[in-house]
Amino acid sequence: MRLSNSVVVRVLNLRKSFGKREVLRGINLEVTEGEVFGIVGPNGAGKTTLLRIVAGLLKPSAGEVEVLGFRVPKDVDKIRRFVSYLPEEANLYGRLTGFENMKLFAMTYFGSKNIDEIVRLGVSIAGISEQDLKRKAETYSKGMSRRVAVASTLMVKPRLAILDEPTVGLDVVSARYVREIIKQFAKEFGTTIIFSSHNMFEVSKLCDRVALIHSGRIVAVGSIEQILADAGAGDLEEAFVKLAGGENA
Amino acid sequence: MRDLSIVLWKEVKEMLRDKKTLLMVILTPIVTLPFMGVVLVYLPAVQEVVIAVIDEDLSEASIGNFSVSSQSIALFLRDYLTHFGFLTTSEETEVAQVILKIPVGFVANLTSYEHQASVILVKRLGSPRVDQAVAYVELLLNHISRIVSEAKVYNLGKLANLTVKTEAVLNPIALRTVALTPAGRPAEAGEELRLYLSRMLAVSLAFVTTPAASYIADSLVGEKERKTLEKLLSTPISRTSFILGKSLAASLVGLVGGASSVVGAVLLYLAPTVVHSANVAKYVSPEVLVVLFCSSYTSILVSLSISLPIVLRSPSIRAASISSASVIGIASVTYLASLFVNLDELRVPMSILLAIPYASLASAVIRTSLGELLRAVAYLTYSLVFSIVLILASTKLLDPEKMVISRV
Repeated sequence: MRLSNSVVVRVLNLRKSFGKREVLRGINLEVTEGEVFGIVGPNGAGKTTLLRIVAGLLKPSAGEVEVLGFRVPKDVDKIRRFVSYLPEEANLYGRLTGFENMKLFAMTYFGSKNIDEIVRLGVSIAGISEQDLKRKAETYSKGMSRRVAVASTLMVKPRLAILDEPTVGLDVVSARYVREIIKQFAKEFGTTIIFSSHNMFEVSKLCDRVALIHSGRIVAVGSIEQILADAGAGDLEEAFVKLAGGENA
Repeated sequence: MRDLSIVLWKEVKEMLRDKKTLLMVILTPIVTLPFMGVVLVYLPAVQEVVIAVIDEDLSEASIGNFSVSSQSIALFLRDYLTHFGFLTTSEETEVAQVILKIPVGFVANLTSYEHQASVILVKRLGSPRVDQAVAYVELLLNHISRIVSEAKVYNLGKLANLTVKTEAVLNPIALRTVALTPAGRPAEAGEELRLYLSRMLAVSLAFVTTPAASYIADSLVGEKERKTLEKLLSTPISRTSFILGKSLAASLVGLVGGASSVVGAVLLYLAPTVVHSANVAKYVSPEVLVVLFCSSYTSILVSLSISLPIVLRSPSIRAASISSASVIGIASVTYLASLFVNLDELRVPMSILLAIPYASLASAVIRTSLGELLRAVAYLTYSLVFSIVLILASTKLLDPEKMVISRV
């Protein structure tokens, strides 16, 4: 079965266990084409596991996951051609330069020919001087590394970009820059982006719709205004606390 | 094929920029091999051992026209032992590790037909060189014993008015040892040294394998530790290309390691020539160097092929690192064993050891040195096929889920 064009990701009653520990307990959600979809929740809520399954790296224990009409895990080889994933705290190859890191990821999608244009796009997304990009990535600050990593993920113009906590551990200026490039890229290229964070402020700035996840369950999904209204809360943080069942959630 | 070249491109770039590791792969055999030659061949020969030859008898006697004195025996022993590289003294001293006492009455007993002369040999335990010194003393005493026996036999024959050939009395069975190579041709002088050096070359495979195997383990485990693995696995790169790309890069390390081991081998043969005037450089043959190169290369491939499934299926990075270290340990012990035993001549059930490719590779080097090139090629081929089959099988074992969730 193929999904309609507008639905990029559909997750039905998804469960995932590692041994006896159940990390995802019946997740249901849909992500539509062109939206920036936020997955918000505290550490250990299951955000990374959910994104890894959508990216085809983990297999569901139960339930269904479809990405661009292809099923996980059966069609992961097809899914990977259209999806670009940035894992949480992913590093660059330190002994390669910034340019070479971008070239590598461009080649994984398009081969070694005609990738100059893609790398040029990466350079403009990263906003780092060519001189700096010629240095080995091991000499970069964390902020610079993350900008190159985000640029490498987006420059291949995937149909779905999955960014797992792309601003975690960054200073305010670098985090703001990363948010800006994601926002600008989504607007310019209409790429569907799934973005996870435990930073409620960040998500409310960036996402069209969000899913609040707590202990492996989605406790709310919708636009930020809708969630705030349903929860009777003034901000997303308050809404999360109310929906997840109190301050100790 | 396209994916494969991309992974290889990345690996080669990283490898060339990891200059310290690359230098270790190159330098380890070049430094270790001649060092091993110096340690095993030269150092034992120059280790100082003091031998005290103490003459308490201070007497002389004769057998017919043949006169014997304890002083001349002590002098003879000291002269020859000095010639063999030992320090000698005529006094009992604390520093002497070997003490030979010629007791009072020694010469009288030595020249008598009714008594046996005896000497007392004291040795301090703890050094193979001391055992070597004792062996030389025994050799020289046997020589003296022989000369005295000949004199006695000659004198007895003269007294009995018989023509006596001393050899016929002392050594009625003559033993002539003819050394043959395993190929059946008469062994030339120095053939044993050639074999000993080829055993050292077999041991040297461990020095090539160790840094290269560490490099290979790091190229897999390090991706996880450096947090680059997950992103690469999420790209369209196929799993087969991921594994084969890394394997090809490792085989390049193997080529570098193999070339270094050849340089190291030449230095191994030259080292004793330079430091000990022992001309062993003549034993270097192109066949030995080619087989050593191929064995070094294959040894690295074997390590890769054994490490791959273990690393790919390990629950944690630490477990993977320990497993890789175990592989290196098995390789090193197997190569070391080839110094003492022909691993391809063991009986059932120990002959199963030859199935370990490291044993085959060590045997290939030794067999080449003995002129059995075909047998060496068979061992090499077995190891090569073993590693290729295992590497290809490993491409089916890569489970991104296991790699991604394995603990650091």
